Amino acid sequence: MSDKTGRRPIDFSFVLASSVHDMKNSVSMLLNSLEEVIHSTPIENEQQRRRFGTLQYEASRINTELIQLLSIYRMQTRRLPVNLDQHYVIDVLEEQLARNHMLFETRSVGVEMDCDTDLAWFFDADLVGSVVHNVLVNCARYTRKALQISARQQAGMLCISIADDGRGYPPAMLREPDSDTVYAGEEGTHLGLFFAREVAAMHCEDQRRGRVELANDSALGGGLFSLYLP
Amino acid sequence: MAHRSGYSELTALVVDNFDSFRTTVCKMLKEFGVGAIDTAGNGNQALKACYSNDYDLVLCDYNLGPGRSGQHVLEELRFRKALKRSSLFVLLSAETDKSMIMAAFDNEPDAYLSKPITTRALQQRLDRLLQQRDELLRIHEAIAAGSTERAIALCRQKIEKPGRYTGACQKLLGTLYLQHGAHEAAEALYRQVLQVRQLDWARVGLARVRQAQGDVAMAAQWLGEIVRGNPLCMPAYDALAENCQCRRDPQQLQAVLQQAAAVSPRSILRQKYLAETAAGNNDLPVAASAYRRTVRLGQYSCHDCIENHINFGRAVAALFREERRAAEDLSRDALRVLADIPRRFEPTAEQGGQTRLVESQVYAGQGNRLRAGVSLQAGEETLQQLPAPLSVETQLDHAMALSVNGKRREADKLLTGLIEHHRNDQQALEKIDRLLEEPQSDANRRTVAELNRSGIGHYNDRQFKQAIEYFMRAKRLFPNHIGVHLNLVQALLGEMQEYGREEERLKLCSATIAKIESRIDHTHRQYGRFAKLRHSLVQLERE
Repeated sequence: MSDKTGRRPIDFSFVLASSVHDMKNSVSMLLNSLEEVIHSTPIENEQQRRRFGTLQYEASRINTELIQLLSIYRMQTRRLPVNLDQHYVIDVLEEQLARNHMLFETRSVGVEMDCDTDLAWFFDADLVGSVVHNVLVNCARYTRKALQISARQQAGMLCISIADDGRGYPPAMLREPDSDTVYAGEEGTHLGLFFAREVAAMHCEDQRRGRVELANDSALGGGLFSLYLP
Repeated sequence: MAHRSGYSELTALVVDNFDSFRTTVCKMLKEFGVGAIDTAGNGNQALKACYSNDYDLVLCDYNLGPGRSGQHVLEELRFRKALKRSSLFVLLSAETDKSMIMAAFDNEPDAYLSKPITTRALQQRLDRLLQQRDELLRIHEAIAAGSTERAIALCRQKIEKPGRYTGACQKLLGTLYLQHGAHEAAEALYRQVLQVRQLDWARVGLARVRQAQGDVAMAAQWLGEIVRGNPLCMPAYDALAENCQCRRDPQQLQAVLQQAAAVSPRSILRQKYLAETAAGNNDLPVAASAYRRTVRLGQYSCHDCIENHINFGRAVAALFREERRAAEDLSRDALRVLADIPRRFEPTAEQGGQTRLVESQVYAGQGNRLRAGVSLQAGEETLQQLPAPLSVETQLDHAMALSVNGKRREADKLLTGLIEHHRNDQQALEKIDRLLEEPQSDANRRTVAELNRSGIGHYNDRQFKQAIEYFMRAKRLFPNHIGVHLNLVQALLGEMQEYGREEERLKLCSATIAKIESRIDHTHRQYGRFAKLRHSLVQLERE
């Protein structure tokens, strides 16, 4: 294919993916150096603590977002296969809670977990782990003071849900997506939600597919995110 | 924080090039109660520490600054068997580059943690890893002691009581059954797993069983399906490569290895396997670039060896005879690699001679006659000091260097002597064949006869496209075989006479004629045929 000038048209998603890859590596280096700085600089006052906190939080948000972008690109070019194996659900949840422990601590969010220690399921632990991570980071921002994460078996599906006591999801997000496009609303791109839906749909067994449900009737009074996996 | 006991008995090594990070991780480990902690600031220090101590736990960053990376450390420890099976090796990294992770996984780290890590996350992971280590310890001890049967019995005991480690035990048991030749038991195990879920490891396992039972075609089909569904499933590629070996299909083997190397480009052993296979198929562009990558990946790897370096030079030298432009691009790199050999390795006198002879060919390819002559002379002087007989490889290097330095007659004399000397050594003859007009070994004679027969069959049925494919394959395998080249020209002309001329085909045709012309004179028994074909080509070009 070529246009009138005889030049090949630019494959924008490819260009974007390559530069996202570069950016992601830079942000990783940035995060790493930041970590070094924090370790080697004893914190002297509350203001400094908050500044470090903001730096770390915003940089990891960029990092997460870039990783998501790249994952979505790989999904579209079929280079992100699902690596199914049997995992203990509690391991994945605990890992994500431990990873974000500092975040909850600095924002004084209390986290409660409800998951049977023997609950095992077949899924891709990396993909599901990053979905849970994104939801947790997001919730830490919008919840008031409590989070509840739970997992159980329900009608032959694994259901992982995360409830908060914030204002709930905006109406635009609650509507079922009518197409698989990423839409930009006033509240942002909802890239995280798109990513979660893709990951859910990649898990299928016979005729059943995974799905994501959002609601605003959680036991804590705020938003409720549920990931169902066959 | 509550945690499992037993940390106080552990010895640990923390490896990172930033001392602040080392301090942080050490602090975390002390908090868990780890008894003894050593640290290392680079790959070499880490290896030294591991050779003189038996650590229960190694926490190693991937990026260790200049020199060896964490992956190289793990690779070498596994290769030299310097890690007890009960030791845990945890790789840490701030990067999430796919090719890096894929290559690291080949050496099976016990865990892979992405930085930044928190105390809690580290402890949780270690708790789980140590628990698993303890649960499977007796099985691993049995394997290490070589008592497969006991290991099998222990695995089965664990699986009977389903729990956290059932999956891990099933994976181990399947491999043990296969090693032990218990195919039926392995098949039953994998089928049982697959009944619950289509897991890739069990699908690969079942294909391996089929292969071991001799149903190679079925295994190939299954493995192909797995790779299509999950292009990152490296064990499936490895099984496929084995499958191609069983079927003695070096072309397909190369295709599989090329695919695997594209998916996981940093794996030195696969890259080397690809280079050797492509060299065997005389697919020189692929062989040369795969050897180049092998040499690059070898810089800090325990799998680096002098042969890879000399072979890279050989592949580039040979490439000059087929694709000048591509060879020129690689030749500077090749010369640098060859020049570096004495500093990097301790070459034997014979290897030193080989290096100079190969170097001479690369210089000759570049058109640098002066340097080519100097290297040839240096190589010959080295060889003269060596006791006879020299290896076939060395003599072939010598013959090729003579040939490209304008000493055709001497080269031919050397080859004739070599054939005479190895009359009864088929393996040696097969190596020599590539330089000859007609192969001397039985196997290669058969191969060329078969390819020619198939090509001629298709030609007679006027299936020119297929005929050309066969002759091209024969031409690639025996680049000096006049008959094959003539057959190719005839098939190309036949196709164009039937379907009209085509630029690409015409180019190939005249290049082939030119190549024959450089090697044939009017005393040759096929000269008449050559002259006729050349005439037809000229006529076609005029049309």
